[in-house]
Amino acid sequence: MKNLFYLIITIAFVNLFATIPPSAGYQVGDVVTDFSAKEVNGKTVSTKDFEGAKGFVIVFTCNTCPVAQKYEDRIIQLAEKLNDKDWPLIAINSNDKGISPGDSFDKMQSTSKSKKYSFPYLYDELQSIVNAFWATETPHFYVLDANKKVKYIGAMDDHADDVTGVKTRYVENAIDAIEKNQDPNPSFTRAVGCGINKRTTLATSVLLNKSGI
Amino acid sequence: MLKSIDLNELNLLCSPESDKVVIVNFWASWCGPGIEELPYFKKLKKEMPSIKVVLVNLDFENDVERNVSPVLIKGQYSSLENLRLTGLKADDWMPLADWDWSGAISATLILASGKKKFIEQKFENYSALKAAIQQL
Repeated sequence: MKNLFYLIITIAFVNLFATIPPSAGYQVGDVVTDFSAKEVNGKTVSTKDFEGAKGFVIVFTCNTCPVAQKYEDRIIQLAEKLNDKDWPLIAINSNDKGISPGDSFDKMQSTSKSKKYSFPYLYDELQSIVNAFWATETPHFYVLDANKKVKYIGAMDDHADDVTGVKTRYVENAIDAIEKNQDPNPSFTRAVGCGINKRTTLATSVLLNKSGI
Repeated sequence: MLKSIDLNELNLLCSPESDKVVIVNFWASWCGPGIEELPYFKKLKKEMPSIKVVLVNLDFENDVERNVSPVLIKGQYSSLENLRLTGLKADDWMPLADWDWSGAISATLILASGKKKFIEQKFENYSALKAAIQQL
């Protein structure tokens, strides 16, 4: 009985603050600084290239994580849908290729080619982009508005295992909300994914971000 | 082979009690680094039998028989408590392990001396696991 009481209190507490995300990297409400990186076609792609975009979908993903692989087709389809709407989808691979050889630039190029990615797939070799966002797993989605303000962070939908089991499409709902000048609800979700291997510790990243590096 | 637990049972598992040491490792068959560190938990249990060592598997439902059971059988992890979560929303259960956990696995929760310590990455080696416990 006592344990049930504690459980109720814990769940109530958790739900009260359920929309407040962990406190590292960009949070909902933060404005993202422009970033750029080498894209699989060899050119540098920057967020500045998308003048007039109505919003952005940034997804940290990779070649090797099975969860990211389960989302690959969904990401491809979403990007195609967004192409007509002036909403760039930018995929970023921040995995350290020393730890994960399947995420080398060559492998990224072959993945993009074979699956005919219609969106930029950036190679975050220095991990500067993932450190600024402090994205933690793959896939990890950030939806920004036209001013590059973060409006949603988290999972694409509520059923990684397979698309037929999806009930709520968090990212698409966030896009719809932003287009109506509303705040996405939820603005933050958690999801199981493969941890992104970061060479920098959290403390160092916070220090670097604060000093504008 | 794997006992399914609900939110209530997970909450109890993740609640520290002053006189007990509990190690809870969250893993999945598709997370390579997570599988690499499983032997450390088995070794820990062998060296310190009084510590409760729990493996919580997060594989998708359909993959349990095909991918999870072989890992457990091959590595002979039956000496550890093997659990899995079914049908729970990430936003409901993850904060019970750690509020700041956004979902990356593998991850380990250490409960000792009434305190909690959450490590959101794999242990490089057995010594790292032992050190993390001793630090609490």
